[in-house]
Amino acid sequence: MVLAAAAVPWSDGPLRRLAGGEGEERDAKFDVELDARSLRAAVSQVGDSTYFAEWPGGSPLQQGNLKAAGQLYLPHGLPVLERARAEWIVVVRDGRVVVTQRR
Amino acid sequence: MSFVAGVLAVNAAFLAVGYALIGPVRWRPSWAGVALLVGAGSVGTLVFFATIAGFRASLAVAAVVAAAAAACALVFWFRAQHAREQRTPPRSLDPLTGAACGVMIAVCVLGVVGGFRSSPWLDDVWGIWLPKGLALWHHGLDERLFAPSGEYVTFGVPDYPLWWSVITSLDVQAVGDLDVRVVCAQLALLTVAFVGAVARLLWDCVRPQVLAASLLLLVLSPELWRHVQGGIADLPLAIYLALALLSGARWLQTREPFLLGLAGLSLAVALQIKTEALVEVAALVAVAGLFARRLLWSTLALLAAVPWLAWRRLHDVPSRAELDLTRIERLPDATRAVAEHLFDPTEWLIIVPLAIVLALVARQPKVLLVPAALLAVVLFAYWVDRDEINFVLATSAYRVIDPVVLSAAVLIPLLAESFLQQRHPLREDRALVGEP
Repeated sequence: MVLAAAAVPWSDGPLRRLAGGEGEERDAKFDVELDARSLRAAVSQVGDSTYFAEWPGGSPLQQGNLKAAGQLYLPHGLPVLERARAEWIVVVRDGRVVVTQRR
Repeated sequence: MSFVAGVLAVNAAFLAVGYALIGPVRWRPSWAGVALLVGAGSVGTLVFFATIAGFRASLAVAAVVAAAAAACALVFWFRAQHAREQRTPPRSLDPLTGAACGVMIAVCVLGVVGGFRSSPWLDDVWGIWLPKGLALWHHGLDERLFAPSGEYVTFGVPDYPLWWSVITSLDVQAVGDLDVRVVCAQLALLTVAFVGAVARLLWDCVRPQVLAASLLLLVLSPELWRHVQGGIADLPLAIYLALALLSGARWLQTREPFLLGLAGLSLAVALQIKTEALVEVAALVAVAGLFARRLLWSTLALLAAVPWLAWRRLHDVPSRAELDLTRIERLPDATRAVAEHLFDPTEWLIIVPLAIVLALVARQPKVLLVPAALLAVVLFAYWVDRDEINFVLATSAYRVIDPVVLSAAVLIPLLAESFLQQRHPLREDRALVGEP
């Protein structure tokens, strides 16, 4: 009975929530709009190089989420504090991550 | 490997190592919960120590330390002179107890399903815990990332030990792709293992009705599964502290060395999960000493904190805690917030108040020193913390109480059984003197 109650698709009771509701995706639930697919695509570009992440005009929450997202999705890379020391620049534009090589 | 298969494979390995560590006399399905917690705790701790020694937290390193731990344990058990554990005669369940067990198992199944289908809602999980684990896999314990340097972006809360990061990193590696749901899936399995471990350790000394009702109270607590779906590290910390408490309590009854060893191992694992565990373990050991001097041997578990403390000292990793005792005005707010979470029936039902009432009616108020000591540590941490008190209470008070709640939860069946046993002779005495 308990298992059946949780399986009823139109119910939103505690048992269904316990079973994970509608189910969630494999990506992090960021506090801000940040496209995880673009982060996954950046992995091959950044590789194990140094990178600098920035969100132009971003709030502290956006900057914080980008920092964490970089450490989560680009774990081979080494995030640096100064742009001048980075081989790659990871920038957020319209919620999507764009990676460019620093000139 | 698929997501589900990867997580299950890692846990199957933990289970196998755990069974080796707890010894052949306990190679029965009923010990699976204890075995999983022992296996995950041991392998995670050894891999963490391996990273301190310069290795990466890879599956290969985990396989080597797991095989070594299992081999050493098997050699020990086969050489040790020991009496075979007496099999507990099967105990029949009355229909009501059977139904309670059925509901409990169904809720646990749903909890595991929910864990596998949930992405952690706590930002610390995807922002700190799991990224640290992935860095340990790719770079090892690289001081550029784990110690503030002024050149590299370092992780938040660098003083935290890394067991939870290691465990979840091994899950990601087994899955073969980044999937943050591994954190909740892993925590769901550990939580169900804890329920099974409590049932196993108390099966011989608590009547089934009491045990089923007590565990049902725990698994029906909404906050338990909300924390599972958050991937919160406070929950595994609470699980290992409560397991240590339970093992210690059972050792007081049986004096079985295995239980003392299990208590020590659980304390050692707890020390690898969060910084505050150091004070919590010290507090538990101090309280344990009031019950039996030999329990003070568990002080040795504190040695397990040395490798990480040494690494931190060597690399100038600062501690978040600041021993400023002048901000006593923070205590009333902290006490109020913590008490609200402990006694809110929509969070942990009536676990904490029931434990208090049972300790009083069973005439064992001294037992309450255990959750009280853990609570004192929580309040002390808020007292000396640097952050703005309302912010820090809003973001942590609901979860740092997990060790207090789970310690109360494992005391409930013990206290209830004690109370019922005290009533029984009273009833006989009344019958002797002709009273109803």
